Amino acid sequence: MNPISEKKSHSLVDFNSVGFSYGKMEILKDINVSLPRGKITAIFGGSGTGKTTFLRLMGGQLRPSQGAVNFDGIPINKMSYRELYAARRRMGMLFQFGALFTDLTVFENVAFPLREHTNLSAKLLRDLVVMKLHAVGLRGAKNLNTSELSGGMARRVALARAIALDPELIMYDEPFTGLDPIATAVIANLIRKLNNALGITSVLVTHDVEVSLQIVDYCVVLASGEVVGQGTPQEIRQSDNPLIKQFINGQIDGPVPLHYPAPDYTRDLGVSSEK
Amino acid sequence: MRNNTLFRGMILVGKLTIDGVWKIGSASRFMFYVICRSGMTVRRPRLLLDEIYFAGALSLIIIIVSGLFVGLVLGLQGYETLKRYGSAEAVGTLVALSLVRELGPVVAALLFASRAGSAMTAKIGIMKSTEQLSAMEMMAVDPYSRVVTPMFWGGFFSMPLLAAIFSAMGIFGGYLITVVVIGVDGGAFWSQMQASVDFQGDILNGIYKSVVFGFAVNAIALFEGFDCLPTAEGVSRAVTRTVVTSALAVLALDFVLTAFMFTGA
Ligand SMILES: Nc1ncnc2c1ncn2[C@@H]1O[C@H](COP(=O)(O)OP(=O)(O)O)[C@@H](O)[C@H]1O
Ligand SMILES: [Mg+2]
Repeated sequence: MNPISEKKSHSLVDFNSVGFSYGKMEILKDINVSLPRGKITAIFGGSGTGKTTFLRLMGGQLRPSQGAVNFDGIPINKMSYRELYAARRRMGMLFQFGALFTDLTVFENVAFPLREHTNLSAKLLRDLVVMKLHAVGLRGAKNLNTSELSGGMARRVALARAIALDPELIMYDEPFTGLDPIATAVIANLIRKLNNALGITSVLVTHDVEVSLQIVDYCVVLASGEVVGQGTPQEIRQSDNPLIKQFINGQIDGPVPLHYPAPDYTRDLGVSSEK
Repeated sequence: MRNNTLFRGMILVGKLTIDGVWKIGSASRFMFYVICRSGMTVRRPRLLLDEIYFAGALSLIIIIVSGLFVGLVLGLQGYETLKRYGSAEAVGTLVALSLVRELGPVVAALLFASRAGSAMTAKIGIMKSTEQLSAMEMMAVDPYSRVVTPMFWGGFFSMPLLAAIFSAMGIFGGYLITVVVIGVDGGAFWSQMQASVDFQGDILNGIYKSVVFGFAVNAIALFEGFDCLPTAEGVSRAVTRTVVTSALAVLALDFVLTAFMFTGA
């Protein structure tokens, strides 16, 4: 009936004209993006375009300088401390390098959120952790230390930990970076499978276009802090927007500049004729 | 040109001042958060016990050994000097007063800063730079309540105990060297000590000192860890700063406290 409730039923997270700056450096500009419930959305962008910043805005770890990020219809930056922590219990985040607790074993890492937020008996807790580890194929690794894990395994343990509390929203920060093709395929498969099995709304920020296009339902392309295009993987592949084409095909220099903003090159080298 | 240098100098002074004020401000805010979020530490004493073990029990060896050596040296030096005035028995008083009033709290705090303080800074700094603290926050677990606050109170409660153990070991060291080795009369050693060390004036004041030092050292160590740049050098610089700043803070505070406690009385 009213437009807000309609929107609420369709998308779990909405960015409404969000801008974000670190000091004077503008990272994100006028972002309008909605993440549909139960779907996987990919946010594409090169290194340093503000992908991690985008996720931190969703988790309430950063506050937008302009606009608002709504989680289930409520602006995250207006939430009280309690409300924010309640909202975070409904989110899971897979950090770029896993961010496992290095002083705990694999089992204890996955058990951590359960121990903090529930009062399960030891038996039930153990069963739950084993189930989560089984879902990522690492049931056999539960007694290992985090230092004994490979990069791909560490990320799967982190994934098991992120889904320990059955979140409604899960955020993946560059889940494929630094993995070999097999480990990449394993993670990609897991992301799709978890989404189908649990109906979790997923958002994945990445610069790995090829793998991601195969598993996601919707894509948003960021360049220089702005949304330059969005659509289904099909639409993105066929887009004739030069910014998107440059990104998908991996051209070095195009409309997206290669260089970080800098003073004139000749001036920098001190060979300018100007005195 | 000269103008320019002057101008730069002024800018530098201004910047240093602003940075300093900024840092004191953020440290105060940090400690305010830490103290406000102590609820979980009260509800889950297990967290506190782990940290007391980490900060206190693991520092025991260095505290015991150093205390013993400091006592041995004090005993030797004190005996050599007092002997000349024919009051070698007063060496017990000398050892006890130096330790209880000054050396116990101060040296224990310096050792604590380099043993436990540096470890706390490194632990928090690494957890920050590997995003473990962020991950905790995203799991809806407040890193202040879960990690920082128990560490703070664990260190805070350990400090006076360590200082007391340091002083006790020092007195024992003084006894060993003067009574057992040199042969000063044991009865006189203890009775003069008992007669001249005042519980209120000496022992309690020593404990107050170590409480203040415990607060300062733990606050500095945790703030430096939390405030560090999330890189390898960032963490290593923060650890260095913890040791240096704590040492300066302890010595400066000691002067201030001594001036208030032991003069004019
Ligand atoms: N704490 C910070 N302070 C200042 N600038 C930052 C900070 N964190 C990130 N940035 C800058 O913000 C930009 C976007 O960072 P980020 O979101 O991490 O990029 P991505 O994840 O896409 O690689 C980068 O150019 C980076 O230099
Ligand atoms: Mg990133």
